[in-house]
Amino acid sequence: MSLLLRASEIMKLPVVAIDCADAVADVKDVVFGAQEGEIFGFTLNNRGFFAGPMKRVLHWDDVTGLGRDALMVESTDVLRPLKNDEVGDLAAQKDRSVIGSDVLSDGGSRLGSVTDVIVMCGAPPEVVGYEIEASEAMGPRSGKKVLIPLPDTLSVSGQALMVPAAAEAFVADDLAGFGASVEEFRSQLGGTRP
Amino acid sequence: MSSLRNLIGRKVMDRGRAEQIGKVSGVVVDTSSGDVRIASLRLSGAGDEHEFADWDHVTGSGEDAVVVDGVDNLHPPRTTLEERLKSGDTELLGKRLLSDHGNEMGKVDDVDFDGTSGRIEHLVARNDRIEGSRLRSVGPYAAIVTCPHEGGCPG
Repeated sequence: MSLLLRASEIMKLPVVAIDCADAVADVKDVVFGAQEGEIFGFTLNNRGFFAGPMKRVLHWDDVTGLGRDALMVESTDVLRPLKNDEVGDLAAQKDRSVIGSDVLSDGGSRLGSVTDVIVMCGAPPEVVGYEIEASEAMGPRSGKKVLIPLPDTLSVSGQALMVPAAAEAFVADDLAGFGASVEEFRSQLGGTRP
Repeated sequence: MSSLRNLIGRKVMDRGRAEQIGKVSGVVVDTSSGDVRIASLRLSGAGDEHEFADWDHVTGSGEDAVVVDGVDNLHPPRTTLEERLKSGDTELLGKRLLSDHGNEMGKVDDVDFDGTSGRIEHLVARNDRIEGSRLRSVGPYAAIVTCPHEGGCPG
């Protein structure tokens, strides 16, 4: 099974360019696109002597591999100037972060609010679920942080993330069992993400 | 099969004069094609003008010595890879081994190579032997290999 990571764990990982086998930046922050409810990209920090915010960003589409130890890109050429860039613009709009958004089931229950995004590592990596702080609608799990799988399609707005009520049956308490939950959930929905 | 760890420090002899020229201090590995191989040797004790020997000029690599076909064929660094080895960037032994999926796999403990062709057969890390053809690049941060696990690195 592929490795699952919280987006918050991706912060501080080095960005390694494969062509020169060098660490060319550190991940500063994960930039979420609220419209799609997924990761758009990353803001970066310089490494070493010039440590501090880098005036470049990395788009999710340019990531070729994401593991527990590094975020991989083909070359430094894919690091784009921050100015006039979609990821840079999103990073400047803190209120667009998916973190804190309410998660509603299409059965009409508020399941909780998003505390983190779960990413399945690989090449390319994939967003497969959310960590949410469970609401009272989730019974005994209320108040706890649980993991809910993401369907292949997801309705989002500035107000809430809408997931099928069926997702509730595949909620997991930790990452150990979550990979299987995602697979079973998507299998039941009859679709996989592209 | 030869060991890179054993090769380092081995004396280098000039075939024509039967004299020691220096010792092997490093190897330049060319990963630009799927046929990953030693491109040249770096020598210590031979002087700045005779710091590198192309593998094509190595006539033999045995347990006791590496033999090259003439000191005239030695040269200062003249490729980017040789310049980078000189700065320590592309040293393989002891380097962090990283899969192209972003997972560390230990450090490069040794490298098995073919003593005749210079072809890299395996990278040895922990108890794993990773095919040399999987080596994609060597740089200041890591030696990067194509992930050997189908469907992604294990968690």
